[in-house]
Amino acid sequence: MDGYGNGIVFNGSGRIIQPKRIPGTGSRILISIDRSGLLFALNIFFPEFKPLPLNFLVCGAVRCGDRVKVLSWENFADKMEDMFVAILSMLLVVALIPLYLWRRRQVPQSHEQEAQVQHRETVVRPTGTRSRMRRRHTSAASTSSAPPAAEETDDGSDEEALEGEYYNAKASKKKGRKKEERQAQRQAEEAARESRHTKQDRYAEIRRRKDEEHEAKERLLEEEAEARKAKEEEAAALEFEKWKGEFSVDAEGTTENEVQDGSQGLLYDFVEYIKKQKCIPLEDLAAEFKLRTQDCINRITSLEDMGRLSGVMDDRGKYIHISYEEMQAVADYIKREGRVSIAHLASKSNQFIDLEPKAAMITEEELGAQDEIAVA
Amino acid sequence: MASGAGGKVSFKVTLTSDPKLPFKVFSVPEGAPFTAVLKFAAEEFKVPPQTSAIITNDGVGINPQQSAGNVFLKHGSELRLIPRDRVGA
Repeated sequence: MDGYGNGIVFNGSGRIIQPKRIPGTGSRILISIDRSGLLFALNIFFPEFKPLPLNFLVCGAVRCGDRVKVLSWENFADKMEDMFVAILSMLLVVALIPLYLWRRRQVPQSHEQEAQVQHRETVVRPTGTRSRMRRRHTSAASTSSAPPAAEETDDGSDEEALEGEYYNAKASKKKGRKKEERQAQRQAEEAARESRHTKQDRYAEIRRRKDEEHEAKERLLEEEAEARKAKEEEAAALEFEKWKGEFSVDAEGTTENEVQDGSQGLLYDFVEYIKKQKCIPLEDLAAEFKLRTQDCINRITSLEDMGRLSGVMDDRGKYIHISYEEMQAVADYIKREGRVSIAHLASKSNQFIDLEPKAAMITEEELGAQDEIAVA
Repeated sequence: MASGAGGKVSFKVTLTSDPKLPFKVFSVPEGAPFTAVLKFAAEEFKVPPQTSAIITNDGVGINPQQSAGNVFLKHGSELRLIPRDRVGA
């Protein structure tokens, strides 16, 4: 490797003072420097086959004054050419893209008037897509009517037309779908309404039938009940006829006179009877006046409250009538004596109170007011 | 008023709805249903049997769905014939 020359680096480039072999342009030179080891240099300025000092660009961390030594090189002139061609083509492509875009914009403007006439009937679209849709439509229209020759020549408009056609078809499909959906919905609603009506009618019919059946049943029941009643009455009548022959009336009369005669003075008689008897068992009194014993007790109590009777009821079931005069006599005696023992009072009372029944007695109470009392 | 001779019983029935309180004594077989007795008594007193009832003098109602003998035994022979709307009054 050695022998290609030594050089000195200054200002980013180096010079090989004494190259033994001069590498061609575009060669990659491997050089070494005495300080930092190996590094590469690219020589693109050295013309081929010219015995000129090699100028090279040194890459890496070199300083001015560093000594360099060429160790080897690679001839990459062809590669450079390829690279150059690739770069050029890239630049060309990059330059062509804006041109293409500019061209695309120029073509739709020429067909705008046609698109406006055709799109007056269409639905309002979003503004962002309107121009595109128009372009698509017009391009579709234009492509459908344009001769094949025009299509072949205009690649850009073809693509636009196709795209427009695609979008138009999509839009119309969507419109059609929506219309169909709406129609289907309407039909479904109508069908539902109809079915509801028929259902209601059916239910009303069923209800009416049930009511009729119910009424018929009730009528039947009523008729059965009436028939049963008539049958029972008939049976009872038959039985009555069977027994009627054996019934007889033994006696008849009215009880009106008895009641009326006694009704005026029955109470009076009751009171008088008690007064006469003085001491009478309540049961006998009840039997006499055809009352129940309890009724007699109640009558006596009521008469005492009314003031018609005065007396005491014995716990052995007797009533002792004591007139007011007799009671007054006993009271006077007690007042007179002032202080009297029960035994003495009892013995004295026997004198005042007469317990013997009277056959006929005219007392001050009898001569007193006699109220007319209706018999209960 | 009561007599049980020869399978017949007597009832003294008084019509209390009439102020005169008419009464009739009926002699009926013991086994006769009391409904028949009631109907007979109502017809005798010329009142509708369907709207009449027989009660005791105490005001106790008599169930007519029994024989005359049973009624005689339970309630005696002194009975009253009343219009049905006054039952219990």
